[in-house]
Amino acid sequence: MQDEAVFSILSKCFAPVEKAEWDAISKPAQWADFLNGARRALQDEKTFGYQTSAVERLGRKCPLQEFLEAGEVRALFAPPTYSEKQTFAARHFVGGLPQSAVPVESLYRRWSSNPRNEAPFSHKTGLYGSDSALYMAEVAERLGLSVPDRFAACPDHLALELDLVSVLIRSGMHVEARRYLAERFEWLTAFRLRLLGLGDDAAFYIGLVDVVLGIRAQQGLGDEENARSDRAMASGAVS
Amino acid sequence: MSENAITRRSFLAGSAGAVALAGCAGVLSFDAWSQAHAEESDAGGQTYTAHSLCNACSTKCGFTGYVVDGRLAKLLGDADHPYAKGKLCARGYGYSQIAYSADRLTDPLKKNEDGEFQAISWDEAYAEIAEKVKAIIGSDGPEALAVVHDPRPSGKYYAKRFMNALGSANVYTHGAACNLSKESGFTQVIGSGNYESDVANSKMTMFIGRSYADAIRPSSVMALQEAHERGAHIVLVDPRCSNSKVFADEWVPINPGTDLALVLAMAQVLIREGRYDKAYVAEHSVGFDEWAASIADHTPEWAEKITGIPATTIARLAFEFAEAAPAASIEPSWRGAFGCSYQNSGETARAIACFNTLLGCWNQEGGALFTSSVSAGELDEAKFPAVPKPAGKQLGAAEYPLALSSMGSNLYAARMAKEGALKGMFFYNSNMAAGYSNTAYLAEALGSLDLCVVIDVQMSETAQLADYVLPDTSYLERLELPEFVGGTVPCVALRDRVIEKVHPNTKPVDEIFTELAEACGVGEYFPFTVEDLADAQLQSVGLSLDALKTTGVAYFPDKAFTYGKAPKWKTPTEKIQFTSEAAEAAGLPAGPVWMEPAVMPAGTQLRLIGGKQAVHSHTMTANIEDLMQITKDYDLTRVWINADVAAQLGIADGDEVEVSNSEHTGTCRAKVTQRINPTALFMPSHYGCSSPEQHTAYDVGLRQMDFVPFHLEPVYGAAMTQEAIVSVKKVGA
Amino acid sequence: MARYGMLINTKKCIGCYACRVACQRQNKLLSDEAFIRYEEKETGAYPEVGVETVPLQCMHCEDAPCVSVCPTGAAYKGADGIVGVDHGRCIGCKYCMAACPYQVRVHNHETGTVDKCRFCTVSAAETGTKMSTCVEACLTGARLFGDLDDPDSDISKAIVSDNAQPIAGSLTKAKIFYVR
Repeated sequence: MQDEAVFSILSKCFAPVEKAEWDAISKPAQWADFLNGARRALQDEKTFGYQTSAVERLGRKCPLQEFLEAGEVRALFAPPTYSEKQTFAARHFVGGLPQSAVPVESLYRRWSSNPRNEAPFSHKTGLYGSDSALYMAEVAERLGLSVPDRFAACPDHLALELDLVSVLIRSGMHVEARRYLAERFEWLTAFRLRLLGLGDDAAFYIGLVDVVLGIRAQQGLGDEENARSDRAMASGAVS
Repeated sequence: MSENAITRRSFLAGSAGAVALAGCAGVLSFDAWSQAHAEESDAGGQTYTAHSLCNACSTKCGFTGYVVDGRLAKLLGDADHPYAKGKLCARGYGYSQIAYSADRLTDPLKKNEDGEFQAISWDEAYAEIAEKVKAIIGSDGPEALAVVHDPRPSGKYYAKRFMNALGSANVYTHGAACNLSKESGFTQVIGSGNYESDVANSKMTMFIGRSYADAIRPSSVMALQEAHERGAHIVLVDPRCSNSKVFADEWVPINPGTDLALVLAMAQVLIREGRYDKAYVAEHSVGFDEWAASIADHTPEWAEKITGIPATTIARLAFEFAEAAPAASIEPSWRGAFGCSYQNSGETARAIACFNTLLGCWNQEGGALFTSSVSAGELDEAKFPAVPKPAGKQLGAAEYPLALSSMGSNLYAARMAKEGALKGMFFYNSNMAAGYSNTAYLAEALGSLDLCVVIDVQMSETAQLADYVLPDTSYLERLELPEFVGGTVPCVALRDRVIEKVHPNTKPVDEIFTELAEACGVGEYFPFTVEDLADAQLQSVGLSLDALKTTGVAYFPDKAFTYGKAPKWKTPTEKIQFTSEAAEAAGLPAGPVWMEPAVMPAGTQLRLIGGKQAVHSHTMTANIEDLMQITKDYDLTRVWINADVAAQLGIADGDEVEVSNSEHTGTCRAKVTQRINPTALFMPSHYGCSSPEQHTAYDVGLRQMDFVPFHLEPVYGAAMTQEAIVSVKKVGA
Repeated sequence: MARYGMLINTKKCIGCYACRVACQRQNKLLSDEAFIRYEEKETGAYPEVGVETVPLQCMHCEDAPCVSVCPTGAAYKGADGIVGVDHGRCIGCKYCMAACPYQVRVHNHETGTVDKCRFCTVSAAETGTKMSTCVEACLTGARLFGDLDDPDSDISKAIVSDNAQPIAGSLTKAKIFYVR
């Protein structure tokens, strides 16, 4: 499975989709294909179609071994049924409940760093509609994309952020995808902690988060690489 | 569906799944975006303002919200608004956070078989609620349904209309746990549930159990300060020396529950000494002689034994009132000491209205005023069809005959739920289960219902007990019906929408009730939007919605109040009633005389009293982090205990103490102070949240209502929230 | 140059915390980071009790102990006499917190640095922007702000007429004056 498809499926795990669609995604052959794709992205040296140098390869950690031993990743082998997925979302991807774990970046970052924002709570963490939501809305607009109505409150919903990675890769914007991956998904560490608090039910979703974090560690562009890839782009080394 | 088709379909890019590369350079760096965005903001950004009304307490102060990039950026109190006068209190600043709170309810919820909530669609929620409503009406009639709400501009209209449209008269406000006794008692005497003391212009004003400095309305604080700085004599009658002491001349530390004796004794002095306004009494009242005779033995010496206030002080206060009259009054209070606190609260209210009459202070400068008000005129019946008057009577109207029907006794409704007569209840902006009376009783009562529906913004204790929880928008996200505000110059103010909905699947209260009505088959009474109705109401008084959106507040100078003119007394006799036939018919004395509180502390027991702190409103603001941090920094959950009593009990300041009675036992720290009557234990009324969904408020401090037995004030139907006796001991002692 | 100072009249303070919340909002502080601290005083004995709330914040001392003990120069006194914190230099050693006799410096647990009242009323006055400073927010007008060197300023006149004094006399030459 191609990287863009892997991210597309990751995205659909965190958002409501039609039953037929989920059934198709979660049927054994298809799911195995997804897992293979995810494993490759986690493990392989190739970075979204971008050839890394041998030095860079040496510098990278290879997280696969520990990942495959983790219980959460084992949970990935059996995707939930449509109704299990729906029930989980109705209990956990909904706000205001003791077991809420809404996958929205805003809830895990400082609300606003804009010095002009004088809201009494601009410094707070854990509120909807933070800078990351504004950013995602603007990115979508600038790229000519549209945020679906159901995500109007949270353009920085995990499903949309993953979806954007998929769109970028499919559109040939590999470097942008890697930079975005590195920059955007730091909050998943905090979100993962929240999921951990939910008990066994959440193992599947923790596994998915681990996959994203793993791919990010492997493929995401750090500051140093950022500069290097900018130079490479400038010198025309990337096709 | 092929793999390709599925994985290609994107939430953001649709079925194409890709974008064109051109023109995207630099868009994706968050840091670059942040910087550009801040610069854009510096250059003016996308800023707009809207006028709205605060929702951090019932005052509803006007403010201007500044919105940058669609988000609330700043609030400033509106100088034009009669209550705000350009200021907001700590709650006003802090509570605005609710719109973005992580603890917001985002989707309709249904309790599943395991007792846990899960999200369902609005259509499912409406259909299932409607099915149960119809089943209840089918088996028990519409009188088995009720709604309880804490009045808000739109909520009070829609909640009542919805219940009446279903054919039920069971519409209750929070009043039985707030100001029911006071308003009902006043009504018996002066035909009006309230008046306004002209504090700023008074020579003397007495506050009984109310503290402007702790339950803040900016204009009231300013009036009190003005009075104080002008040299008015300000008297606080309260078991607790409140923060209003800063602007008061004396604190009268009365035994809680005995305010009635003080008022009657002061009246007795004025009458005995002939120091009351005889001409005024003769012209405007009935029953004076009978009442005067009935309180002839209520002397200051008699009252001293009950109230703990020296007879000389009581007599002095009465004479000072006589000197200051008519620029003097006893302030009407709100919840305070006689809104719903004791068995004698309604009678205390009657006595206070009688006392003010002796001063001849009604509508006199510096006295007690019936200021003007304006309300919406007749509307087009075709667009806003009238709802037929329900056939049945409000439950409790017969049992609690003096309770104002505009409030009703919600506690009687709870009792009927427990006894099975009431099958379905709706709650709007009401946290009855945590704030109205005994929490265990209320949980059982609400748990007995076939249908319990709660409309709120966060998971209150009441919502926890519901079968369905419907997520409201916050006050910042909706337009509401205009709020008409009485005053020396009456006005109308608007809660306009400041920001767009944060959560797309929440709905404003007007839509929720309209759609519930449609689902229940009574949609014909709701063929209009809130905008239509707001505009029609404003057109009926010569304004428009668009105009009011611009100014936030509009005054009616031609309806301004003028001093001196006696009002039309809306009592059955069209006079001030020192004696009331209705009271007599209900089994009370014709005129107010001494009545004991329901319980009295004995030995080392203390009476548990509650009250507000300036940073909170009941249980509503406890989940706001900035405000709760103040509670933590200053240890505001402590119970106040008199220093001498504490010494006897071996309790030192800051000690952990156990508070217990037949209803509940709990521990918290003690504040040992000279500022409280030795028979009282003060517990602030904001804490002890038991809803884990409120992450900030949960489990901080003790909850007063856990200790209050479930009982109702005879005749008036209020909660008697301070008829609770507790024992206190040092933990480990 | 103006020598800014403040007057706080505790006879008008009702202890409502509005200035604290307004300040936190204005200066984007954490919930547990407050530049204004309150001391509650109870005087007399039951029932003749007096109540006083004393709001305390950085006094912008002329002899500022925080400035003398700061090992990095992060705590400094500006040309306008306002005591400031250079966050880039603050190493979070908290010497200044220990040295401050008024205990009004606070530690920000997110940045690890120390902060305190910035006299933001100055920028409000200079830019003409309406802000929710503690002075603006106060419901009862308990606070006055202005130039101590201008004998005609409201604050200078009030200090004289109300005999306002620094909270600890001549210690540190504080620029907040109290009426009590």
